[in-house]
Amino acid sequence: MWNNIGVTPDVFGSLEIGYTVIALEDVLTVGTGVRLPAPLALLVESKRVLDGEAPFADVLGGALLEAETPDALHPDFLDAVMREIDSLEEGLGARKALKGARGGARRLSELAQLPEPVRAMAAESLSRGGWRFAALGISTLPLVREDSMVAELIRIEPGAGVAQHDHLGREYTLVLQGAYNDGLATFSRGDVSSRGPGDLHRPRALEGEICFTLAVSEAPMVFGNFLDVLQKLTRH
Amino acid sequence: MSEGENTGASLSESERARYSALLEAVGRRRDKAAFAALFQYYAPRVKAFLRRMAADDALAEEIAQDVMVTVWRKAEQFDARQASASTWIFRIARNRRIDAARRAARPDLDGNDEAFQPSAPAAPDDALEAAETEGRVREALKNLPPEQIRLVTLAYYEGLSHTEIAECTNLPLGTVKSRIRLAFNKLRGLLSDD
Repeated sequence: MWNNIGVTPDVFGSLEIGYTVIALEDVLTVGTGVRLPAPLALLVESKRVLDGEAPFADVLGGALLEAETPDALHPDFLDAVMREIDSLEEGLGARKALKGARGGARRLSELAQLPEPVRAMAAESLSRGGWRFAALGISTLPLVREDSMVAELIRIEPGAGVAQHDHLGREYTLVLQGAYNDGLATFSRGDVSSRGPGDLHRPRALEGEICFTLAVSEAPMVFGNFLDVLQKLTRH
Repeated sequence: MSEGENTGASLSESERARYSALLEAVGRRRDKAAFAALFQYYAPRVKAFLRRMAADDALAEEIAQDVMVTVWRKAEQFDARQASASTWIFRIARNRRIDAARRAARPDLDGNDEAFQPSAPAAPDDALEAAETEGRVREALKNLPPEQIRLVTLAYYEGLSHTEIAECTNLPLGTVKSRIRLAFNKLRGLLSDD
């Protein structure tokens, strides 16, 4: 499930978010992802989908919801909701026509097998701007950002890879489809790897299938020119 | 912290199945009468859930409205074989609450408005009927020691972090974490038996 070859257990077993260390196990088993930044929440949610986990914690929530003492609603509440629904339905027709016109639907079918939360955000992101070129055979699509953390969908052509590189912050990668090898191990659908500063690696997608990954990275705050210089030195 | 206890009666299996069928009708046929029936049951409870976190009545209603509209919008993604309407609607309510809290804290937040969509998980290998599952969870909950029920409700339903729970229960953080994990494993274990 969690492929932590080559990474020390305590570094891997926790998420470092600023000065808060959250045990990954707690997040996954208990689902206290309510406090996670959106990019990490997306990763955890996507992994749950890939693992085929029954949404146990949500079943619990549903049971507790049923047991709630019903609150009194404003008499206009239902009308307000129906009005909003009606205007939605009207706008929907127009928006559907618009979406068809945009060429960005070209790669949409590729995304059909990806976990739903990622798929929906990718479609949204595509409608705002397309895939960005990162390297030969590799493109990225930003999904969600919060403070200095960002979640991106990475698309890697079979056999394509990036040169040896370092990370300034920590990066978590969840494989959504296909597989890649980073010189130490092969990571396939459902695997998560974690890489930090000083962990050099050279990921390359395996042949035969496009590899999609969800990469969550935390870039450090920019302190000025020194960091720019450092970035240039460590990038190959 | 929490105003009322969850002491209301939960749905019977047939009632739960009925609401799931109504939600499917909304998804397939945009059935407004079905939606209204769902609304009558769930909207007041969704609002009660939201009001636990936001004491402001008007704000709770605003978010509840958002939740019910989202239920309408996403209904075609609902699959009664995988989850009951309660599970699905709870998930939306929880996500909307998180979004609202984020927007309140950071009005200029970049990125997608909906942190994530309600996802359709793959069916588990030994799939129980969705309605039956929730009945079992409810039963299993009742059989937990009261302090474990409370911790589980605070952590998951009310969305408090372990640190916050430790503060309001005056328990050491380590104790909170291990008890919650214990309770969850017990609940899971009770579900996967037979």
